[in-house]
Parts: sequence; C-alpha cells; structure tokens
Amino acid sequence: MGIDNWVRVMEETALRDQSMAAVFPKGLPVLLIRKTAGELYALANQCAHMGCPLYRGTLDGYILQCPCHDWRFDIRTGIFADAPEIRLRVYEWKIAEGQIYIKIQG
Amino acid sequence: MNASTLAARKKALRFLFEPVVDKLGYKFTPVEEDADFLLEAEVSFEEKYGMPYCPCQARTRDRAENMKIVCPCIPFHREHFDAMKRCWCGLFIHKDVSDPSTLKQIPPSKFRKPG
Amino acid sequence: MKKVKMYTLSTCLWCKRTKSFFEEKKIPFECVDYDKADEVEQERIMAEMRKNGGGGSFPYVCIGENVVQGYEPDEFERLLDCKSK
Repeated sequence: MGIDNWVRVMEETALRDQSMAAVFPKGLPVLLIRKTAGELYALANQCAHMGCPLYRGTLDGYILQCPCHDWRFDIRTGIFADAPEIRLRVYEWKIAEGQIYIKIQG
Repeated sequence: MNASTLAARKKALRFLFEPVVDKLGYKFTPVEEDADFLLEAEVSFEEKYGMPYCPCQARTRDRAENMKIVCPCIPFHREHFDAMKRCWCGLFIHKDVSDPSTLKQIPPSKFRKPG
Repeated sequence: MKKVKMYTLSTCLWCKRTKSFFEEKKIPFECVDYDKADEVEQERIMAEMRKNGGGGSFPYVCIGENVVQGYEPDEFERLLDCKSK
C-alpha cells in the first residue's frame, strides 16, 4: 500500500541546482525546488492566500515569494513568514534510480 | 461586470479568504450588508488593478507597501488588528466577537504595541 | 464652529458613515476622496496624513486643530462640543 503512494514525477537530471519545476503527481499541483544535488524541497504549488501558482515566484535563500501578492514562505517547512499559523503543505520526496518521487497521502 | 459575475466573484473571495482568516482567529463580519459592500469594492479593485485591495486603506506607488493591504491583510497588521478585534475595514472580526458594533477603530497613530 | 475637513476613500464603509454623521448633524465639511484625486493631490494628502502620525488608513478627519483617524462618533461629538478656548 505504502509504495503505491510514491509517485514518479521527473528525472533527477532534469532539475538543475537553484531551479524549480511544477509537477502534478496524481493531478496535485506540487512545486519541486532543487537547491543543490540531494537537497530538494517539495511543497504545494498553490499560495495559501489566493491559490496562485508559486512556480514563478522568487527564491531568496529558503524564502519563496509568491509572484501574485508577495506572500513569503519557508520552503523547508512551508510556513508563511508573516503568520506561522498559515503554511503550505510539504511533501516527502525521494530519488531512486535517477527518478524523483513524491509521496502522496491516500 | 454584470450582476451574476459580481456575485460569483464575491462568493469566490469569501471561499478563498475564509480558511485564511480562520487560521488567524478571525471570521467574516456577521453584518451581511457591510460584508457585501466591502467585498463589492474588492471585486472592483480586482477588475481594475488585478488585486483585492483593502477598501479602507490607501494605495501608493510603492508595490511593497501596497502588498500589505491586499485582503486579507491581517498578517501584516496583526497586533493592531488583534487590539481592535477587527481588521481596519471591518470585513473580518475576531472569532470571539458576536456583535461587531461594539468594536472601535483604533487609529494606527494611537496604537501602541503591547509590552 | 470648528472647521471640519476630511480625507476619505469612495470604497470605504467607515468613510461613508463618517460623512453621514456630519451630514445628519448638518455640520458643513470639506471632503476629498483620495482615490478620486490625481497623483499629485494623493501625494500631498499622504504627506499630510503621515506628518500627523497617520498611515494610509481612512477616514482621516480634521476637526479644528484635532485629527481623528477612523470612524469614532464619540470622539467627533467630543471635539465638536468642545468650545474653542
């Protein structure tokens, strides 16, 4: 059952350092961010404010700023910088045989 | 914008904002007439500027400042709004308030951060 | 009678209520809608509001020498009742 929840989303080599990719495991909008080799972050690609895709946002260190209204999130935790009660869902990820997988609940 | 589009967008803003303000301890004002008036203003801003700005705060030419008054702007004025138990325009009130007419606006200049 | 001047936004509920307060009392006032003003006027209004310790929150009401930011009927009443000394 558990293994079925890991969804392959892209080849590891297709994501360069300091870049992002919008992926859709089982149709869910997920943002993959690669800082360096082996340091990846996967979080909901939908701003907690009005649902804007975060893919075109700007990344400064670990802070991702939404392109629509500048809401800022920590990519390590998904926490909104101006109110910690608000957070983006973060997803588990893994790399196996050169492929990136995202764990989807249910 | 025709009446049905306007009504649909007001409903959409409610749908988008409700979970955000809920996490912050707020809810929509129960005074439907007020909520309707304020949401209608926000929909008109979206149509004109692409953003649902606060109807009761001024936009300037400074984008960073303007982003702090995009509704719901509670996160950017948290202590001030928590002290008033409402946001400046009154679209949102604290969850523990049932009668918003008891709440007053505290001018930003008079507001002193606690502690 | 003290001079009443206010800056408002045409989209602001509390600005409308502020205007109604003075209208109902038949107190004449000057009013500028910030959002209807041109950019030069907007900058002038914002500079005046900031100088008096306020940000961009409306309504902004001057009663004589006093400033009230926000819809505060009790405060309006108090300042209007105060006889100039």
